[in-house]
Amino acid sequence: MTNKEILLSALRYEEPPRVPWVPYVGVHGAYLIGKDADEYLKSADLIYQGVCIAKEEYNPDGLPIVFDLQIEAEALGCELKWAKDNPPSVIGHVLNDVPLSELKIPTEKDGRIPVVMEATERLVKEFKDEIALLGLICGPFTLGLHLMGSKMISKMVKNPDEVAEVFEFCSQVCKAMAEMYLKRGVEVIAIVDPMTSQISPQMFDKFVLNSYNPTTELVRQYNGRSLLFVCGDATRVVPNLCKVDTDGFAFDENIDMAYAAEEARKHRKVFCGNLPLTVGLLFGEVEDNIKFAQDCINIGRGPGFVLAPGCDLPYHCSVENMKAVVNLVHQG
Amino acid sequence: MAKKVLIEMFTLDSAGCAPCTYAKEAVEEARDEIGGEIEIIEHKIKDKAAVKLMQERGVSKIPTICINGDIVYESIIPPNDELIAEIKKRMKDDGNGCCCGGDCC
Repeated sequence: MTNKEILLSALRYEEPPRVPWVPYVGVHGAYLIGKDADEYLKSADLIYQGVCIAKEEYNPDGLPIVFDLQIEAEALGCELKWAKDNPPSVIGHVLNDVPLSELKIPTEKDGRIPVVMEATERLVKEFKDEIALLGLICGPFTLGLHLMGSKMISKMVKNPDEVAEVFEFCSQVCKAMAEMYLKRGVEVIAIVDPMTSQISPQMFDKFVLNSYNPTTELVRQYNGRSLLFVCGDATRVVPNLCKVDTDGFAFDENIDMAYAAEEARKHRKVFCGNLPLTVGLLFGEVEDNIKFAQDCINIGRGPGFVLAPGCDLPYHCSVENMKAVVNLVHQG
Repeated sequence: MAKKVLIEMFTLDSAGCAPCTYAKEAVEEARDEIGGEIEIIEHKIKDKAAVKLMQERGVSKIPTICINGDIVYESIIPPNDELIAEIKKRMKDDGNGCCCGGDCC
């Protein structure tokens, strides 16, 4: 089996011959090629180079094309603050100035979407059947917060109809972004919605659960696979994650792997995780990371498991630590 | 007399992690709405010192919001009015005319 087939097998809830491994290289790709994150995320050429180096260095079964949850928000008119060693963050929420009725679903010409799609086309052509590429899109809840700001949390209680309308719009944005990736040959769509760890299970079901459906249905039409990425302590919503219409979910070290594995397996859901980002890959020693990875593998081994970091790798993530995980995956 | 309030946030990095970004934004909005002496400090666990402090303080989740040393919100972004109430509670005198918590005057 090729690396790509190993990952796709796990995403079909099968058990491949070895544990699949997907390092979430985002701005760490900029670090690997000696560039700043802001320059990297604005250049199709640099993204292409970063992903190519990540493939050589980390022998993955799949890689994200870009890990930047602000692309859609920027295309919709939100103001960003750029950083040298982080993805940008949203500092201006467009719905503070413009009514929802005036926002249009982004197209391939808006914001940095053309940059991302150019990188996608080159990477799909380059890797073809070697590794799977993951098209990451900003989930409806997180995008809603980008558009409205943190007052959305209060409005979920005080003005739920207004929030539901924003979610409906964001859900259509997700679908549109997913289609841009799918029609270029990307086979795995990851809906990244980290904010879902910050709400109750009841709020999750009321606002979030069905908001993924337009995207997941589209992914199936293209014979692709879909994942939901969360981060933070989403323990209380793990049963909700199992009800989401994606093939599975990915989570960080704030969730106990044994618990997530047990819940996922009850529902035949794929689960991806959860190497610790800071105490492990960023600051830990090689031996720590081998142990963290071995612990994950021991718990996760079986159908539908993918070894992955908890979230987007930090810019300065230790290459030595990453390679220790790579060796464990490929040599046992 | 209102007491000074210290809000400490343990984050991955509010510049690069959406839950941390919006937790910080919620705290800053509450501070601006209340006015008064409210200091906000962000401990980013991308710094080793913050990881150590997090362990010392018994904080295990990010983002966590501590008010005057109390862990008040772990991995949840509170609604604005709830957060304001938690901050105001800690700004009040203790009721016996002492503005320092009762030990110094």
